[in-house]
Amino acid sequence: MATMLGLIVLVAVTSHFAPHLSRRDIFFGVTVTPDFRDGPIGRRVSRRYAAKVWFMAFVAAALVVTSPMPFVSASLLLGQTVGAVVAFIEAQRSATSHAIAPTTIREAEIGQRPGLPGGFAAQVGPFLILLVAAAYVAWFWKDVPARFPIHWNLSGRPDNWTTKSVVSISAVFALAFVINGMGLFMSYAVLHWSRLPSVAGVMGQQDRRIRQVNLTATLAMRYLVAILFAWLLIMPTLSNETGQLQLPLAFRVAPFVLVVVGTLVVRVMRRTAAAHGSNVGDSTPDARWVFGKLYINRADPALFVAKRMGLGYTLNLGNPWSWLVMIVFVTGIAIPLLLIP
Amino acid sequence: MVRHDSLEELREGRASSGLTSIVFLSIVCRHQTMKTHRVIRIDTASPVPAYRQIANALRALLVSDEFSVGEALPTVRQLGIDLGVHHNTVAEAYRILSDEGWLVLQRHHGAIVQDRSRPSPSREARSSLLQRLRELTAEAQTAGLAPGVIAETMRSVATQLTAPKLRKA
Repeated sequence: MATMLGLIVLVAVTSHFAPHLSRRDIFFGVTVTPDFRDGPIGRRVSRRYAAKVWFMAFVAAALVVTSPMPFVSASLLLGQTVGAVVAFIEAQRSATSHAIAPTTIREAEIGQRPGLPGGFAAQVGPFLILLVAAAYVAWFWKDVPARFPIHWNLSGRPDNWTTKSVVSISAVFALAFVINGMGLFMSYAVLHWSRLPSVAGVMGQQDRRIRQVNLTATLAMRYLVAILFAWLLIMPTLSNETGQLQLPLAFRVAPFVLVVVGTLVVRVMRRTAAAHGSNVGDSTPDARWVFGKLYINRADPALFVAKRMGLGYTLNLGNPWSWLVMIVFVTGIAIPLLLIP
Repeated sequence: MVRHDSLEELREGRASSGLTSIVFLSIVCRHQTMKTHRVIRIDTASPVPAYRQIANALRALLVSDEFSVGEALPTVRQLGIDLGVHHNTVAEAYRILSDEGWLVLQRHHGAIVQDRSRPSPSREARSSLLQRLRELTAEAQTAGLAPGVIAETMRSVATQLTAPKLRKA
């Protein structure tokens, strides 16, 4: 129950902060003047949104504490998240009538692009971890148990297992490589096939730093995935209780810690940065965003654009290449999953 | 939707939707750029075509010796993504600069900055400059800029943009 309550609070906190991670001139996915957010209307919209988010968290917590019926916890969290999205869309509608036209100025820096965080060695690291794990499993193949867990519930108990075979273990490794490859591709694409909303001045510096935070978080997540998969395949060869192997708390907590730390870093950056310059907006038109979440602009050659929420990037679905990327990603994940018995 | 901006910015010389021109872009580029951060700007609402704005902005950097000879400019796709324009628009700008002798376009190496010694000005070049300055001055006056400010701005830009090697020539 404590884990469930913690997750409900986590969803509420991240939903609460989500609108505050964006640039000062983007409010619930709508382009506004930089001081609108702190004005009376902006504050009222923010308060209403926060009240809805915390009301839903309260209802979810009450269900967990009082309900005598067993319920599927993931569905409850999903319902809470969907509710937060609906509250976001309602807030966006309130803000739309105060929208302003974004700047028509576009900036570009002429020069060499910065490299990925940590350079080549750091970016290749997750693949090396997986290769070492694969070599270990191949070397100690006879120690791999006939049945071992591949999925755990929120409390760390295994709830899905697979059997020992070349196909199943290869498929698990393939899944890890595909996820890591996707992370590396996205990092490269963000650097080369997306643009910074601002390049010059203080806003440009801030946008560069936030891009760096995003790329570093992606790299950290890739290491986490690689270590998790390496552990998943090596530990059964070392443990006596392979059938009930518990997932260490660190693996369960790390993704949430990463999200919370990333959220707080971006939040602090946005809060400390004053609004500079007269270039309002993030170089994408409001009309091309669906609910402030999906970006569809055929006239924009960028493959990825910074999310209006302020953390992370999203595909420009108006770019035909984005559909190819999605097909490759989905296929790359689906094939190994189908091969794991 | 409330249109943010522009008349005040025009008067203060911070932006220019109707007046986007060689002078404005040159000033922006000069002020916004250093060796390490060379920034170009275009205004998608300007009546001046985007390829012309890109060529003007890059020319301002080239004249100011911001590039070394042999340096490669970004690929047309890369600059197109950065500015949010089609890559053919950037390619057209590169072609203009190539025709002027600033760049060499190579199929697999992109646009390379080349050494360009100053040609002796022809009579046509002078009359063309005069014509463009007349049009520009008329636009500036229409936008509310005083004749003294226009003259001072032009003198300042001309001094800033005259690269050391050209002054010596």
